Amino acid sequence: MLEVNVSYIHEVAIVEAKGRIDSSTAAAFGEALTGAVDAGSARVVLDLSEVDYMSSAGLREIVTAFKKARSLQGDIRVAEPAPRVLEVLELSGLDTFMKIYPSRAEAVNGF
Amino acid sequence: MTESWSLTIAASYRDIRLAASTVAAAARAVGLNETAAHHCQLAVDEACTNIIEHGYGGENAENSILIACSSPSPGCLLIEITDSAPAFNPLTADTQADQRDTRSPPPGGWGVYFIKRLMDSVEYRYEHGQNHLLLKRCNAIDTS
Repeated sequence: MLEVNVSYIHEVAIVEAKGRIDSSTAAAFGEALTGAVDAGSARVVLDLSEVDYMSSAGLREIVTAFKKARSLQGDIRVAEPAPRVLEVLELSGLDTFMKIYPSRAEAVNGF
Repeated sequence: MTESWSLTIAASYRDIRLAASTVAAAARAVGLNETAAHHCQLAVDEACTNIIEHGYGGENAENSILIACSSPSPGCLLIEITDSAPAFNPLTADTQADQRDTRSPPPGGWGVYFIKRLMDSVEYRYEHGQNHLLLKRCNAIDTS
């Protein structure tokens, strides 16, 4: 199961995902994430603190949204990924392209 | 007595979760630690997702994937994933993830890359009209 909530702190969209991001939930996750990029200033904090599992299906959605945000002079920054999720980000090399913060507050303040 | 498990799932993304969690449980049962069990779960998830997406061309309840696990030696798990999609050897596929572009992240192709990185060995054969992917994992490996 996956739950995605979007909120705002000033012009920064906070996308908080809870649960599993895999091939059965990635489309819904991607839709919410890309929607947050489109809706505001394209500055997004992706809070993964409550995601307990993520496969490459989730990575694909993150990359798609990330490239879109960058094309709009924005960015997506990752906050507080769990160790298993961080491992996936590092294995893919995505951590060399995206900023990863230990907390949501630091990610927001990083903008 | 050698323990073994097998499960057949329909070509459905939702059913992959059951297969992957069953493999993780099998991994723990044969003595793999949590990291290794998670790696087995992720590898099976990635393999089955690729079979459905690329092999079968999408979800279809009439297609199926067989996942069988056994323990060839203490602390080791052998996973065999069998499907009836057209012959395809994922080990010879050149994925975008293998071609690291330092300027931008690849849009996909991580599935096979993860499987190769997370498993101790990966083998493929095509036999009697079916693809067979064999994954073996014994110990936690350094993925750095």
